[in-house]
Amino acid sequence: MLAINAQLAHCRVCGKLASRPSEGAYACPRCHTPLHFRTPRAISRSWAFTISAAIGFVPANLYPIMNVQSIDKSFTSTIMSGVIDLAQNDMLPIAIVVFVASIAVPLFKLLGIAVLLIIVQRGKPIKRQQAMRMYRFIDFIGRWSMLDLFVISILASLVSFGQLASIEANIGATAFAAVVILTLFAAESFDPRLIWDLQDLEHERTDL
Amino acid sequence: MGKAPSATTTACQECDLLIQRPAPTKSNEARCPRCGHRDSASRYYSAQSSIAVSLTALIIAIPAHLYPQIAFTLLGRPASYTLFEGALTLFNSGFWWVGCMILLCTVIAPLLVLMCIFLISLSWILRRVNETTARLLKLLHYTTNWAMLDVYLLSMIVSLVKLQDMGKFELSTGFFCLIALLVLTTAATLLFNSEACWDAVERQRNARH
Ligand SMILES: [Zn+2]
Ligand SMILES: [Zn+2]
Repeated sequence: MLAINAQLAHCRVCGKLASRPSEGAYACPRCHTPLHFRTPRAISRSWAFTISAAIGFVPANLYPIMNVQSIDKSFTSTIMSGVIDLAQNDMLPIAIVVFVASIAVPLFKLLGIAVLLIIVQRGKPIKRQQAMRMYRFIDFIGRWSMLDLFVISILASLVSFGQLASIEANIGATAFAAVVILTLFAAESFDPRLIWDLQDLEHERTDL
Repeated sequence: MGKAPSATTTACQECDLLIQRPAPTKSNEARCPRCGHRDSASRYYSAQSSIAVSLTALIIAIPAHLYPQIAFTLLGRPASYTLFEGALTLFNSGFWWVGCMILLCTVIAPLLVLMCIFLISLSWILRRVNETTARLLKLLHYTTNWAMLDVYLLSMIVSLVKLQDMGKFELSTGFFCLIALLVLTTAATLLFNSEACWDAVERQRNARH
């Protein structure tokens, strides 16, 4: 039996299971945050964050994230050119790490959330266990996109030798930071219980 | 409104299935039979070890943040890096928004998490659980996701690889303290059990009325 069918709601902040009226606002008796059977407007909020992140993804990748200036050369570096640079300098494993964290993870995350949202909105039977695995994966990988931002801050503060050599952050970093935050919020506002409210394709134990 | 559930009844956080929560054991977290979600609230809570680990971590955090983590030399000119300097450099060059995020994820959130765990466990041991404990538990819930020391450690490795053909670098005290801090923070979060503490808050409230 589901909590919602017993008029019970599970608090997402403190984990309290409490009975609440079926309509109207109601605060969790334990932590006093609003208590709902399902997060209200989870789908539209998650869409809003996902779409904003997708828009931000364009400038984050087109604009340079760093200015590099050294004795013999001076150039601006975008996320992708940083990856290519690493790969050409025989640092393929690190190039892959950066590519995965900065490009693959945010892209996969945006697509994944969009797919989950569409699935939930269609309301057709799905393989719930599979959808759930995707949700958990998306939730887990999101934080790793912060990697490139940390790298910029380390490089910019270590390499500041004036005329000799310097690395500075550039406008792309701001856009990228916004993308990371927005994808984190997008995953956060999704309510996984919506997946389990759908019919299961393999209809195992649907009566639970 | 429905009937109030019994004390051992809970609902799965991820699929809403009603479950009877087993008594906490040291070995394993209970799993939801429907979606497989691990119920971290079923973990055994040891306030003493939570205090010990979080306090050690808070102490280690001081050298981890104050001492340089990397020493770098370019053509004989030295430079060193601490976490604050990194964020400060970004602030100074006008990237306050990126700087704020970095400070939040690497300094503020991990320290808040440790402080919350320490103070809550302390109030548990001293039997002084009260409304402040409840506030700290809420704060802990909202900050946990933003502590990203693990990601930060990986980004240090990436930066070092990027720097290797530019100049010479050396890992210094701060770096090793940071690794210890990461391990201890992870241990403190695993030893802690917010459900047990929320229960204590509720018991305290009931006793007062
Ligand atoms: Zn609550
Ligand atoms: Zn479940």
